[in-house]
Amino acid sequence: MKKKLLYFLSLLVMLCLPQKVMSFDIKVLSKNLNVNGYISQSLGICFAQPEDWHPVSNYTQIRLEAGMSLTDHTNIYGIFEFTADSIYNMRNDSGEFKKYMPGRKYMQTSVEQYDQWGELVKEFYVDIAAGKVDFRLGKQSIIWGESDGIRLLDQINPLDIRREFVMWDFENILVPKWMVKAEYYPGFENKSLKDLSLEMVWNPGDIQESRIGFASQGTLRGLPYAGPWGYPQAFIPKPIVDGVLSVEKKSTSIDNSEFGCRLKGSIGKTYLTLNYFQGFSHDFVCKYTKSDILDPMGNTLMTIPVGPVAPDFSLFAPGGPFEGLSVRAHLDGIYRRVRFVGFSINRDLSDFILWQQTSPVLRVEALYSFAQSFNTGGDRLTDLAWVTTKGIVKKDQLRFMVGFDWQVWCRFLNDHKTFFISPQFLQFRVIDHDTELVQLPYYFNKYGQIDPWKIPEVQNYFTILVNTGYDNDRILPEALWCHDFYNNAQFIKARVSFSYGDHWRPEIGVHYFTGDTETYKSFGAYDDRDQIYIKIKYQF
Amino acid sequence: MDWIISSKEKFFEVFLVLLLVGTILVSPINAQELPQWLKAQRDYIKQSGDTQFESFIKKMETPVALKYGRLWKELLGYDAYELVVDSKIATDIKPGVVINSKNLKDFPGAKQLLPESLYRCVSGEDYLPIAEIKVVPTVCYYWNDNHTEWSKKNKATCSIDPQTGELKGWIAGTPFVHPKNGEELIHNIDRFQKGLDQFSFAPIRYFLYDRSWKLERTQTFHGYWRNYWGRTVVPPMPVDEKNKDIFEKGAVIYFAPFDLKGWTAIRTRYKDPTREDDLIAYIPGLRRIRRLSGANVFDPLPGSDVIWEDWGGNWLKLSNIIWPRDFKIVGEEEMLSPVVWDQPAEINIETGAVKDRFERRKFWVVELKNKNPKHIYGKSVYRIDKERFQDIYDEYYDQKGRLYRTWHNGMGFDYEKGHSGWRWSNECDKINKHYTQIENVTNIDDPSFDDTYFDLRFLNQMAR
Repeated sequence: MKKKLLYFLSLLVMLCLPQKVMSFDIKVLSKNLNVNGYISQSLGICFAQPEDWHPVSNYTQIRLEAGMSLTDHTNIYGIFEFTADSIYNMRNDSGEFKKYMPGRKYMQTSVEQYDQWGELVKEFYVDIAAGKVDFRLGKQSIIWGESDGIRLLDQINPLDIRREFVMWDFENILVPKWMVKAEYYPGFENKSLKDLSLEMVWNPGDIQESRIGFASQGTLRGLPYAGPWGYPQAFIPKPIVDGVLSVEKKSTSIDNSEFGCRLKGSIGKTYLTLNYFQGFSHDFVCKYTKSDILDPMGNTLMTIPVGPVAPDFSLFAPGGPFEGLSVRAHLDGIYRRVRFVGFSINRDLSDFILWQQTSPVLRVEALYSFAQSFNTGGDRLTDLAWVTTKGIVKKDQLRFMVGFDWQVWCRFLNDHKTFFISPQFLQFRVIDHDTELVQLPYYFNKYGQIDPWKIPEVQNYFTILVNTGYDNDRILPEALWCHDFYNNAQFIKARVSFSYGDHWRPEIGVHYFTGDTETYKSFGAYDDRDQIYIKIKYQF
Repeated sequence: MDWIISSKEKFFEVFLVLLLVGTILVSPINAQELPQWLKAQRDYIKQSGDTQFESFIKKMETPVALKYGRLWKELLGYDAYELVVDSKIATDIKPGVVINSKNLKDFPGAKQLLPESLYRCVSGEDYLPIAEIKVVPTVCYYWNDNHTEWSKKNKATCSIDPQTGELKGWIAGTPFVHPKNGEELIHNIDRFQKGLDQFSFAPIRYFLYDRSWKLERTQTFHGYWRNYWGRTVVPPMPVDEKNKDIFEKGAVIYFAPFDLKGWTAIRTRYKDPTREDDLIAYIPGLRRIRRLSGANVFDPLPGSDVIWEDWGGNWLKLSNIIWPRDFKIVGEEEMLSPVVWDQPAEINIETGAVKDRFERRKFWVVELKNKNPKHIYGKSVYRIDKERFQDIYDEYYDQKGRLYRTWHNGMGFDYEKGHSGWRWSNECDKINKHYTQIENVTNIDDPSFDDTYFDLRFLNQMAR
């Protein structure tokens, strides 16, 4: 009963809020501190098993934003966010939890997950305009590039995808860092060159990683439990019965500095950026360290260090020397350095295409990444090949995106507002792809066979985003479809939000995934997470 | 005794000096006969005791106002007062009359003095309420001496290319002070509809009303606008030589509600009639600056009924090549029109109804028919003030001939700068029954901002 009360707690809090509260000012040191934000509550219901719909999440989110002008040239801004999922507290004794989410305990709040109250401070920075240079100092997110959904140049801040993968609003899943951004505006312009500026970014060592987790307990351990939106446990065949993944935590150190710069400007009608970044990858690569041979009681009999020869499954087969024994595999998750150059372009194509008084806007983005680390299957494609010393290789990678934004009239569907249509084609190409690259730890399928989630030489994606507004933007439908050609996987994120009044913002939506569930390749990892959700937000 | 004589002489000298100074101070008013319209205003104020209005009229009696007014009248050959003073239309509606929905039937002449759509707004029969019309004598407005001088020059320099329909030879001022046809009148609106060099709204509020006249949302944002041609008050004048290819730029920054907060956009309108606008926006949800189709002027601003095409008076470039149209003066009308003065609008926020002072004025009625069926409107009707060349009541009809939207303006006036801005406006969607009441106190010719408010640095600084 106690648990069920939690269902309604946050809704009650929202209902108790005064109906007319808008953003408000507080006097702080004789300055106006403007405060606004929202409280939201959402319930997700999984329908991947049609015969057994069940709730999978019950998120409560509180976000406060506050800003103040200290002087004519100095502003301070903070975003404070608290997120919690109470579904586990309420439903962990139910049948569907035991059936579909075995071993999962409960989802921590955003604070508990990273065990520090500082997590409540989502962003906090000072803006200083000093002549021709604008500084932003503090915990912040810096967004580069032009592509939506799948990120290319946008490599500075990682994402927190423990809750609903990338289905949450973008600003909610950004993981900010303590950084310094300086943007220099030389004031130089002529007829063809305008808006010239040079942006420099320096991260003095606050290294953050993509926030991920496992969906449940299983053979592999080492990542936090992230609930239904964690990665599924990889299929690890016997004789491995235990996989210990030790994910590196980078210390805050000047040695771990990251640096980026971006030259921006408009040449004629084209807005162009040239980008350079060197820092750390947000995603780890696995490095095998050792294998413990375990007796039937789980005691370590011997340890086999990493070496040119990996333990072979056949040794554990009936009649083999290790018959009846099992293996505990130890792997490190390592965040390697990345370095890339790239560019982005956008251009209104009204000179070439003008239809019903709207024109498409071309978006292009490309990057060339140097010596990017990949896991490889090594020389042998059998057994535990990936636990050999050749587990990691470095390859250059080219990524590009071509897309359009086009506001198109479809008057038979909506005679009041255009449809915003935004298709994108993306290609990732590994240069000198001479060995099998894999996405570890997804190496075996559920039958215990080697069927790795491969990273091919060329990987293509297509996405399309469509939205419009009805009833003076009080009904806002939106749909995003993303297709991974190589893995034949896709997802659809569709929602309808309602903007009646100044405060309440209800929303209903669906997240639908298809893909390979035998190894959990690509979006197949979430194939059994299809959900509908309902959200209600009170904003002020 | 000498000192006594000396004091008397000095006293006399001081008296003479004071007399002279006093004469100089009051001479501009007395040196010329007070215009008839101001005499009528004085009579009205004396009778009505309308002290709020009196403070405005006193400003219109200052030397600078009289000078600008005289110059503008000399150029036009008439003023607004003369056009209506002997009117025989609806003589029951005199200064001092207050009209509202309850007593509207007592004033049968109101039907003649209000466009039908506006009459129905007062009567309560139509969507979008006008709460009260308080009639005052006709005010005569003017543009500043610079504007008048340029308008005089335009008589010899401005023309419309018969092939392209484009305006030639314009730098500043009203292109055609003695318009011969609807096309010239529409060009007058196009070039000087905003009636000033640059302005800021700080803030501007959009009140959005649903079909039962209930306030459903309120939006707050800041707005900045700058003309690059036709400048007569704020340097550089008359043209910003660094940006000669640009007619105007505007920036809006949303502050509320939360789901719009941080949405910032900059629009650039180019002089070249074949070049579409630039529209670049910061999208808070994406945390990114995105370019949008500047050509798209038919989409409403978020949630509102206001589309760019209407906000700018007639935003699409006047070119027969791109959007061919037919222009026609279909008549002249005498109407009650909101006074162009310096007091903020009285808007009942709950209902969106406006109370304002109205005056009789003469308007050209211009019909603009779009030949391209892809245009959102089949026809637009503009009522253009014969003295100020600004449109006050616009009606937009869809391609099926239905009255789709109406636009009403309650303009403001700065008597020293000889320029106008807005106090309130509204755009009403008659078909879908939704309207947007705009409270937009304009800082006319606000000198506190410059071209840097319309570049990417500004966008980045405003971005959250």
